[in-house]
Amino acid sequence: MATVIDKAKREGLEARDAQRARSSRRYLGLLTGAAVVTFLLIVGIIGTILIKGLPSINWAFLSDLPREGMTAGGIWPMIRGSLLLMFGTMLVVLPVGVLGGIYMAEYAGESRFVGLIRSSLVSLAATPSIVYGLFGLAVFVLAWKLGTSLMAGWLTLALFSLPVVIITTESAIRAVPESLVEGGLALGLSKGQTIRKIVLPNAASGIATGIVLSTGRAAGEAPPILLTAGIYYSTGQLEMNLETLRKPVANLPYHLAEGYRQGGVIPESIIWGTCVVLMGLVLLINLGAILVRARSRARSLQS
Amino acid sequence: MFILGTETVRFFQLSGVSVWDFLTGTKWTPTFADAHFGILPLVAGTALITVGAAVIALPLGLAAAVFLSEYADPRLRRILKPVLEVLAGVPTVVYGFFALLHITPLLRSIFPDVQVFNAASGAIVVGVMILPLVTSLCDDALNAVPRALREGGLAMGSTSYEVTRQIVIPAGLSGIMAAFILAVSRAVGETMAVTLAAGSTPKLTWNPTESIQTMTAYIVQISKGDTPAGSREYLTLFAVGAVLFAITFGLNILAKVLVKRYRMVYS
Repeated sequence: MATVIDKAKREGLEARDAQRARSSRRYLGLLTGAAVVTFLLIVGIIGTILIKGLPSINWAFLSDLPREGMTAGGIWPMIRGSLLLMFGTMLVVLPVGVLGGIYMAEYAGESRFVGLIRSSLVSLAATPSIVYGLFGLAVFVLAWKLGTSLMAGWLTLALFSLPVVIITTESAIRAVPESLVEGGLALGLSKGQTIRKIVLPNAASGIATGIVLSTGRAAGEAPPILLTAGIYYSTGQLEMNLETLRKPVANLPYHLAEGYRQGGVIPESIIWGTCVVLMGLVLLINLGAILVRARSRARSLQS
Repeated sequence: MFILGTETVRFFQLSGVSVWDFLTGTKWTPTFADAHFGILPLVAGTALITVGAAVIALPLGLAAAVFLSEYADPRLRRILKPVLEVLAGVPTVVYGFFALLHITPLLRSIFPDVQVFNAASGAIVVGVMILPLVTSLCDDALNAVPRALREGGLAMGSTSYEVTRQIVIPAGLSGIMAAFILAVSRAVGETMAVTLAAGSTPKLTWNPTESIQTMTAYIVQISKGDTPAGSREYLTLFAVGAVLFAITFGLNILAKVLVKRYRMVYS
């Protein structure tokens, strides 16, 4: 017994469905438009900076010292300072962050206190960098009497990247298959040996990605360096001795942050060029880390 | 060795909190009331920038995320997602210069009475800056909505837009709200872009064409001069920093609570 729908009612329903399909298409159009605007905005800004900055970049710009009050010459001391800050930060954060991550993943358990630590870590990871700058100023620069120095900058930036490093290390360790760990324990390895010989090698690429990503971000952050380690510019040669650790260091973000205060003394072309160098430095590091992560993910899917 | 790891974590939390308490609470009581009144223009400046940035970034970011997660070709999504992550790492100083040298002249050519340093330019650039973050996080939230819900909707004869609006977005709402809050907290803490673009005039105003000063810009301004340790200016840095920390910390906790509630619904 088929239900009989009279003609008028059927036409009404069809009209409604057509209306729904039309409005659905309209909104899809709107959404696509919004997505396009979003990507255009982002790509537009990055593109403009590239177009403005790329022409002034050449080997001399990258390798020379600034000349004539920074109206000419290159930005090598700032690049050198940024690299120095980044590698030092990595050295400081590597042992502390990895040990913290191992503890959180393998030994901490699930008590309320650990839950509290875990949520504070997440919140600290999202805390503005300038708050870390203030902390570094109060503790490292003044209380520990390090002064405005490379050392204080390392410690502050390390602190800034520490929460992210601990969180990513923990999740990299948790991603190691349980069967591998059990295999190790079944062969009579102690827990420490299992972690050293089985868990860490398997989690290494994930841990490395976390460290590189977070120090890359730290290297681009101006506020903590502003408060703890920076000087505006440097024209001198770098002396490689312990004294260097106690001296402030010139670096790209600070150079840019101060550049605008000189009220047009520095030609725009140099500012844009410096922008591109800083952006390129950070993006290259991030891109490298993301590619490593993608590759190791693909590999673990295959096995 | 392992104790060292946890000690660091603990030291980080305890000292971080107690130092703020110490510097803002006990040492500085006589002028505390004064500073409290003084901070309002800074908070207003921060709010102005944040609201402006949110108005730009949240709708656009959500729409782009819906497009990415519901409509875009999976291959396109696999390419765009890492691009978004990389772009979220562009140093903020760079955005600041873009605002100062491009957005501000543009605004001034449209509205002649816009000042050289103005809140609007800062808000726009912070908005664009947090766009990749909003898009990426909202995309994650939408992706976490179980497929079965969508298929159920489609099986009932809904069009894909109806499924998105009436099923996917409500289901992912707490994740989306968490993404919004994290983005707003990033905008509150944003330093260099607003220092460069929005100026350093603490002013209680809602007029985006004027120069204002945010909490972060104030910290940069004061700390650039050689402020002697223990002086009044030095201590205001920490008072302002503590307020900033409290605001962002609160927002981050709120986001975490929302995500937690959201997880419980579907586990």
